[in-house]
Amino acid sequence: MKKPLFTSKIKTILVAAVALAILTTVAVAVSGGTAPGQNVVGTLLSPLRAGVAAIDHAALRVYDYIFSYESLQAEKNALEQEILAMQEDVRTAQEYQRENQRLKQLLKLSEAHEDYAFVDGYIISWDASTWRSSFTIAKGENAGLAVGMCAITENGQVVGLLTEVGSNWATVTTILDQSLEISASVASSGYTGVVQGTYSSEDTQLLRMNYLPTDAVLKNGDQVVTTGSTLYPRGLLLGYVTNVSLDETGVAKYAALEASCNLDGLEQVFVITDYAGS
Amino acid sequence: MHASQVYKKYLMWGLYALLFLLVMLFEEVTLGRQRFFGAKLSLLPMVIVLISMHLGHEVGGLFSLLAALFWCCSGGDSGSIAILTWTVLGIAAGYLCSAVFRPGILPALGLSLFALLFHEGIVFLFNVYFESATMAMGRWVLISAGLSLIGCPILYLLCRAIGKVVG
Repeated sequence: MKKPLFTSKIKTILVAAVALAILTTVAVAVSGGTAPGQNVVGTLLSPLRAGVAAIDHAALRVYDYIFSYESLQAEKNALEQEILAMQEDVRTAQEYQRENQRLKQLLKLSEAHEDYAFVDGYIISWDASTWRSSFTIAKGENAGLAVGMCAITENGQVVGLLTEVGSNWATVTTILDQSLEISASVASSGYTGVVQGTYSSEDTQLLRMNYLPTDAVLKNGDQVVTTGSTLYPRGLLLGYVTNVSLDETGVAKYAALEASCNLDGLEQVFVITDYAGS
Repeated sequence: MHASQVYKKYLMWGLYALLFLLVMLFEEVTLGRQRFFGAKLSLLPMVIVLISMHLGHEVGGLFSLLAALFWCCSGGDSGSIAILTWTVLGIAAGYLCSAVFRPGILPALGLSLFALLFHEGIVFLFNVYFESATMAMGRWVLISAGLSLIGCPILYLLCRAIGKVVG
């Protein structure tokens, strides 16, 4: 004999589901985005994620080796030619480097960035949702990370901000996520606005800079940089202007930006934990 | 209940939990950065349904609730929604497989497709009404569901194998 659908157990499970859904929604709202127990579960999952990420990278390398052998051979030949040309460039570059060091000393440019303290972190997992762009790194409070700190690439391009931090993990919400808003300015003209991610399709890494004055004059390719906060410095590169239009209200302009960093293939980020203005 | 039955019961829960965890890690680590035509794959609602097909609606519903709670506590996106949708899906799949269908690959495909459309559809509507997604982005739900369904036969066989091991 078949059991009826709504047995007392099913009713209990459904009531528990509704209660837990409400409870977690309230808890997430109160805690500013962190689910109850997320630190504990995240701490337990972090080594598993790191292990799977290591296996994933190893498998990718084997795949590339097997299926890209011919292209690698052609690339090797091309690189050998390139190395010869580059060796000559290196000799010239060494001269420029010495000159550059003198200039840096003269202009004290080096002082501008030597105050940055970095913590590097490898990406161990990505948010699986279509509607989000965030990832987890294998460093957390134990390494001195805190919510609001800025993650950048090795070239100084902003990747995103730390939005959740556990003891040995941290979530970086990328600048492409539509929930992230960063105060920014146009480097050449000084116009300020708020940079926000957009829902990105497959090949686009588009950002949007809102709240620009209607009389703002911007050129394609203008650099947009952070205006800074107590947790990250000003002048970090966010993206380049690709288009400017009036927004939906008609009382402000917005600029479409191309993100400066490329998230495809990103494996490691650097979190700025301290700087002179912090 | 005999000791061997208790052992089998714990083994079954352990193996299904392990399967869920492995699929979750695979989805987050390997598939998480990949977008296919703008959408990411979503395997977990399918796993929930396939496991519940073998467990029945009472045990399947409880497993779905606990799995969704774990997903929510791991910081998974739309965790609170998943607690409701996965539980309902687990109960529905378990009941339909005992009252209407016989467990098999075709019901598994049908229920998986329904589960993906149901869960991803609700998450999409949530994003439309509370975030700034547009209705046109609904195509990502269809793409995600369609592509994720490719993994259904493998997951179905894994769930069936666990069911057979435990007896």
